[in-house]
Amino acid sequence: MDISQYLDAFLAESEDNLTTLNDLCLQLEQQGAEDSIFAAMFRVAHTLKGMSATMGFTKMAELTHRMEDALGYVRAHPEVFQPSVVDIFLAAVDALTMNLQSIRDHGQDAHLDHGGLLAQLAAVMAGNEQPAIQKAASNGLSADVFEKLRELRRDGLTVGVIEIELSSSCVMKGVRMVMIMRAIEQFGDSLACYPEASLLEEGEFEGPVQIAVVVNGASISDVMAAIADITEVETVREIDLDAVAASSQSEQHSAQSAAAPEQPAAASTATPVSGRGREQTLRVPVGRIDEFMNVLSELVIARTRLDLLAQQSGDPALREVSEQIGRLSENLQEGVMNMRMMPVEALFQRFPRMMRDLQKSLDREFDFEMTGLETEMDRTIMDEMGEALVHLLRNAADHGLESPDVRERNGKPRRGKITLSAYATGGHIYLEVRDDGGGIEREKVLQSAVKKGVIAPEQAKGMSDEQVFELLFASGFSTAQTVSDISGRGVGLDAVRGKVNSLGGTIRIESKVGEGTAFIIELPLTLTILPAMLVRVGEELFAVPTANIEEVARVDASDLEWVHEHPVVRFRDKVVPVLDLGDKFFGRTCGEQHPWNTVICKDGKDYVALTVTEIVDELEVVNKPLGRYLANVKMFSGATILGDGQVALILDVREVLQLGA
Amino acid sequence: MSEQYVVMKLGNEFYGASVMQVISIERMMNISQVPRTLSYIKGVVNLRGTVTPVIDLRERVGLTRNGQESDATRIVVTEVNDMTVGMIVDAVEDVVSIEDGGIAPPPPVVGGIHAVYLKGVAQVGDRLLVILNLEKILSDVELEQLQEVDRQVRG
Repeated sequence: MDISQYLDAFLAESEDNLTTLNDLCLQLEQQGAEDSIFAAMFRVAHTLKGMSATMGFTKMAELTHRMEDALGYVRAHPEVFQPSVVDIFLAAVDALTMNLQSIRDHGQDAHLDHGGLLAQLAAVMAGNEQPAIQKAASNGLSADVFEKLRELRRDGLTVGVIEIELSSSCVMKGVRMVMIMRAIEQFGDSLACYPEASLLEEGEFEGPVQIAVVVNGASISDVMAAIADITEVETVREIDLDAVAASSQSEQHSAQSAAAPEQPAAASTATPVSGRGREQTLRVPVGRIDEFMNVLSELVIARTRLDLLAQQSGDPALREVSEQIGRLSENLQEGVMNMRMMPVEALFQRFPRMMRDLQKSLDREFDFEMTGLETEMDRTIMDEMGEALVHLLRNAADHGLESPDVRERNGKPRRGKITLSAYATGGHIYLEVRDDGGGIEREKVLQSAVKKGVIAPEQAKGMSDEQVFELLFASGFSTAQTVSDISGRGVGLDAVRGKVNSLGGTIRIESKVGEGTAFIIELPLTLTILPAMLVRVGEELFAVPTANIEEVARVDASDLEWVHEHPVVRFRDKVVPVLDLGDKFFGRTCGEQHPWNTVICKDGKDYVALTVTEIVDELEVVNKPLGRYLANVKMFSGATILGDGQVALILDVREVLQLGA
Repeated sequence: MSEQYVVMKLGNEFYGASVMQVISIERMMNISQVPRTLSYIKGVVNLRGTVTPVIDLRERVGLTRNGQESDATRIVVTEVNDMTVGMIVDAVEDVVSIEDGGIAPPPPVVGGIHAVYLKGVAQVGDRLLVILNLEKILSDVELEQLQEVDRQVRG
């Protein structure tokens, strides 16, 4: 069989399943040995096993198989459950994730060795071996199934519940059960069974089995006779449907899962425990949406052009059509943007696990909370933010929080708290990592900065708290007393800022000594289409992103003040340097006569007033990359094609600010 | 085996670029300048919806005499290592076939750093064709940028 065409679907689904499994492990740890969690885990492991075996990935199939065994065992023996079991399951999830990566990269997993883990999983069972497998609390189909059957009987169908017991010497119970199921299928269908179908197929059961059947053109006794013919079937008997009373509310749930044994595991796992509804979704490769986005960009450009022509012609009918097309393309644009948006949950879901592991490896105790999981964010930006968030979270656990003893001494609860939140407001997305730790100590930062030569000692005195926090982002800066395993590697805060900046965002710190620290990241909603102001510098047109613009001002000679021969203006109590773009870009000033046309721009806390020849228009532009050849050009974040086909470069205000420095 | 080359004119010299690396030949179009970059990078053009950088080939390979833009001026659009770049030339003549082994090393009169941009010379009819090393021409931007900074610092 050619499996390659299914590979993508397999990878995507397995990834989802592993994520679910991971979440379930964490729930298991918090809530203890809950049967519903085990059941959900079992189903996922079973699905993974089935899929990987079908695809011929033997190592993955073997590991999931053992995992399933162990899960089945712990489920049947909740008394053997202990926290270390979760660790083993989590290790298995990690190994499977790695396994999946190997399949993605090399198309196979034959070279992997899960030997150690297999042994550990086996030990979960062997170490707690007990001769007699105890029966679960209930020992038959739930009352709801009986109720359903009675309903079907009223509708005139032939239904019944058959109880089967295999001989105690039967060695391949799973095989026998499959044969029994086949026998039933000759006469009709099995509606439900106890224990679950997956357990039956694996032979993971003891005692009598109950199967609810509906038959066409035959009687229940025909079915029973066929089953009795199968070797090693000890007893077959029919259970009286009216003997079991209607259900109580508490059994509702088990009845549902029992009544639909064939339901795909992936769909049913998330619902019982997370309790959040799932929308119908369609998997589309990101590349396809990007292609669509490109075409849409062309449309936006053509639309701008049509707009221009319509205005020039002065024909009212043409203008009307042009406006209508404008509105339609805006709707379309919004639609595709929305398609690219995903709930941040997709990014956040791996963090609870990470934070759990951190607690174990660091001398820290804390609760980790996430809010705003439904906040939507551009997929591309989200992918880029992963590593930065990992760093900030590790930082919060390692440097933000004090050790439990220190916390106690300072009159705080031993357990700290770290919160990761997402929210959207005013065309921006905010991501916040907050801890209730010791806060940033100004003096410590300053000492360290002076020692490392980042600032001069005399500079330190006059710095505001904000400026001091800024120092943390300077490259090669760290206030940690000891370089720990956790935060001492990977990206530093300077890299976090670099990443955020490259996405057009900003990051800032809020901190109070003794109360905690927050890192707040502000990101644009999307990258490709942005509102901008078109300005002319000499002969050339440039686009300035509106997000960076504070105000457009005409500056007269009397508005200017001078600092060390550089012109500055006052804007909102700030002294803002004036930069002549004509001079900086082409060596020909734009400010031959007053008043100067200036655009006051802001990036983070920094302001600059850019003098341009003329302010042309305000419009939406499509950000097109400059391409690999111009990758070194930092002054412009991209270019856009205007209505008349001309190219205008898009200013990167952050870089332009450096020109004044 | 032979390979085909696009023959481009710079002043009264002829240069060849492998057809495998040439995407299209365009008439001169409006170029938007990119400030604060290397002087031979003339800017970017709108090539059917794609923003494409354009360089002055004459300046790039270190010719000293300046060219004049005319009706014959063309932009030869090339793609090498996923980089698309247009090169301004005085004219494009035709496409010629050159046998393997028909390319000799460049004569020693071409010296200095610019020699690396040339693969060799070939005799085509009564003309001498200088074969360009486009990989080098398009890949050394970073190095050039450093040299530019160096020049600025030293004045």
